[in-house]
Amino acid sequence: MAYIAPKDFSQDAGLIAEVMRVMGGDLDLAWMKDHPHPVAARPRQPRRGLTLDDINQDPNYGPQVIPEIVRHNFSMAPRGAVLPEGLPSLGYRVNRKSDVWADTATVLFEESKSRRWAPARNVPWQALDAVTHSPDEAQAIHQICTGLISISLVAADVPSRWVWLMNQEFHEIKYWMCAQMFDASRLAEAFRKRALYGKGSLGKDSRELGEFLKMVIDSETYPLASASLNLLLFSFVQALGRHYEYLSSNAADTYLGTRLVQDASRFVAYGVDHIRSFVGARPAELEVVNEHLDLVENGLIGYFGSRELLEPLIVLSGGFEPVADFYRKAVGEYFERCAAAGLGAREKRSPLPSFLKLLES
Amino acid sequence: MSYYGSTDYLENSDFLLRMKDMRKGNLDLGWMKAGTEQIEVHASSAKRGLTYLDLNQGSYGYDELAEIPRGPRGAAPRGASYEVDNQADLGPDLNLKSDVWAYKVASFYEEAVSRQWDATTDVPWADLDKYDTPEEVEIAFAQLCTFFTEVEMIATDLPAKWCWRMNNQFHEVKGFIASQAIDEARHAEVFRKRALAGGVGLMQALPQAEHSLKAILDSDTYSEASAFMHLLAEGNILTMFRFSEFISPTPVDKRMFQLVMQDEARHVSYGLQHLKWILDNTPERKEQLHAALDEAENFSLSQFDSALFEAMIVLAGKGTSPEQIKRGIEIVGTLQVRQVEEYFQRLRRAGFAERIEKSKFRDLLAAVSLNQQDAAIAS
Amino acid sequence: MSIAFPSLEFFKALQQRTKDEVVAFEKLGVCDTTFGVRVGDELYRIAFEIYECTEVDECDDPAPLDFVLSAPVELWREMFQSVVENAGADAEHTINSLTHVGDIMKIEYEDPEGHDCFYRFMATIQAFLDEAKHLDVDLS
Repeated sequence: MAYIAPKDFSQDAGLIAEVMRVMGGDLDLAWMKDHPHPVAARPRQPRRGLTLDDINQDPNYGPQVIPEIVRHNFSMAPRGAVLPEGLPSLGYRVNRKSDVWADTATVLFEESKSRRWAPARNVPWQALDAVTHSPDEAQAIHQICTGLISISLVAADVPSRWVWLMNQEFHEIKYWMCAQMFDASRLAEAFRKRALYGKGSLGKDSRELGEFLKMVIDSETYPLASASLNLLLFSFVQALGRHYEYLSSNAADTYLGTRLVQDASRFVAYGVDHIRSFVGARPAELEVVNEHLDLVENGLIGYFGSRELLEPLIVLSGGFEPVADFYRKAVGEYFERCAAAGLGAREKRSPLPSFLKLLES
Repeated sequence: MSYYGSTDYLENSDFLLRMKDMRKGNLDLGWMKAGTEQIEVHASSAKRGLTYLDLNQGSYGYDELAEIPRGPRGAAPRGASYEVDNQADLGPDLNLKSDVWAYKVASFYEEAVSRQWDATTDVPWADLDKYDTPEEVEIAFAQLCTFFTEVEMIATDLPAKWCWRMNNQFHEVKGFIASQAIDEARHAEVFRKRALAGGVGLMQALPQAEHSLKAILDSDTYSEASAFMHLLAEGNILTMFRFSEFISPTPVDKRMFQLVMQDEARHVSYGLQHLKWILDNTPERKEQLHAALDEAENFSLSQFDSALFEAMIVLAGKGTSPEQIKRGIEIVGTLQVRQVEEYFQRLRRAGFAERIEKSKFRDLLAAVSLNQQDAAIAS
Repeated sequence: MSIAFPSLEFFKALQQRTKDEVVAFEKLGVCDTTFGVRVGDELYRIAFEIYECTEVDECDDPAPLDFVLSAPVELWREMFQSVVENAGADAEHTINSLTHVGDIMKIEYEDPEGHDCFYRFMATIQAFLDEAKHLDVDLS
């Protein structure tokens, strides 16, 4: 045990006396007077329920009370609670609001819960029984699914890596990151089930995808990890979801593609808002984020050009050109989001346009 | 500190040549010869749908997963083909099955996905206006909700601390951990919402409880942390949820506790089954677990925070009159005994009955028993 | 009596379906977006709030809209024909497929975040359009 109690409480006379006092009926009740910020929040729109934004209306509890640099609380005490003496530090490393904050996170958390689905029952798996893919097409789908499982596993790991290091004052962001962990795990589950359903199999690991994912998860700071995961990787995942749905010939794949798109879109929406808030609050970080993306986009180029992605896409899409179109569209939309996130015209410095030139005959 | 890969693709002649080739339609299709196993999978129960249990076959299944899965360290999903020397090493720390595994974990994951709920809409918040709760009871309830809001996030942060360090071969466990993270975030959310909807707001944070949370987060290994958190701490909280449902001031609150209880029970079950897995498969780790639980129980004893217990007494007695306090103490005393008894029962079910003899809670039970005898003599 | 397509009446009938099928739309989750459907030269504004379609009207200015799904009237007819015949769009006529490679149907937008609302709520929007299967619609 890394953290040891200062005494053996089973032999602590003070503690035993305290237990005896309370359980003997001698109640102090002083705590009953200590509620400095009474509030009775109610749903502003009853059908929507009681949202985080509803309970954040009171300025004593809303995010407006969080300072840019949190210095007053390193415990798990919830924001707005009375903080008595003696609260320990739980060792949080991410204590700066602009490192994590996005106003849209509350809505995205609520949306994630509301738009939940369960792969076991909601995907119409039996629709796959009537599908007549050629063996090559079936194998190509399994290969695409294999990549999506890997992506989803790491997409759950990235928020996992950071959320426990974040100060509890940012609880909305922490909730949202837990939703991301769950959403990503569900995608890993869904595409594993898709690959193995019927006469199923998984495909081959991609060295290039692994390298790209390692760049994403090994990003040095949380804002850089968020830019890599939410803005870059999930722009592509969202586009891949669209392409998967486009290629679908049955209700199961249509369902999976649509859910991949909707779940990925929440990652993207947070990424845009988070990075915009981050570089807006700290303009000096703009170049740091851009430089990081210059380098991590190289990882995406590797995956774009990997045989384990490009070749099955060619098999399924009926040739090289539809895939090239898809890549161009995905990259174009990513650059639009970068601009919306305040990163400027990334197409002027990114290696991705040079890659797209390689696709031209 | 960031990792930027081993290849600059646009400067790599092999990559450029490959792109040229593929553009011309010269495909290698090596991935078609992955050599992975083909299996036949269908939903064994149409009602239940296609579950991870249906996928438990051959090289894709978890039954055949070895205690030491040698080789995989990257993002390749279990059963996919990969090259040991050519994979991107994600550096997982937890690489033994017994580090993380639990009996029934695939079922727990499926249950978690199937039983997700929404604190925003599944609790009838607007109905709170229908009930007139005495002020002192509402204040006590706000203190209880403050405590639950405070402690629930540890069961998000602790799993998250370890999840990304787990080898991707253990995806059922990682999925379950992720489901626990969202479950507990939702619990923190629902208790915060209840505290802020009741007219009182948040009350005191509790330093003694926080030291316990710190000890959980700082545990040396995942299994030690799991024994402390899943089995002991969440077991205690589960009993408190049952108690709280019983003494809830309104039907809205009863609904809230019914929802959180089902999640908490799943987490406790995982902890029990993980402990059982460890004991069955790596019994040499018993002493390490005894040492961890010695300290965990010690921290749990220190959690006797008078503000929390007084609040529970007020809630259980439904007020602060001497009669109500007397009644409240009886109920809370029963709760404390039940917490320890249920913890002991879980230890027995995990095959760790020998722990009971060493438990520090035996002293507590004796003290409560003595206290009850004193009270009987006095009356 | 059949409802003509395109017409405001048609989209209002779809709006009513989101109220009639409240359970199905609630199951898909919250959907907060105001988007446009451009059928040839006609632009319809469709607002979703929480679970259901709350407003439908004709409009001239696409600027306040999150995005606009734009296609010639013939393509919309083809899509709704597929919806009616298959009790929901077939794989080739989902709004995603039509707006993906080749841009047969275009997504017009000014704000990329507005554009992403299309993706976030695509399942609900598809279900909304698929409700045409319950209408007696004149697609001639």
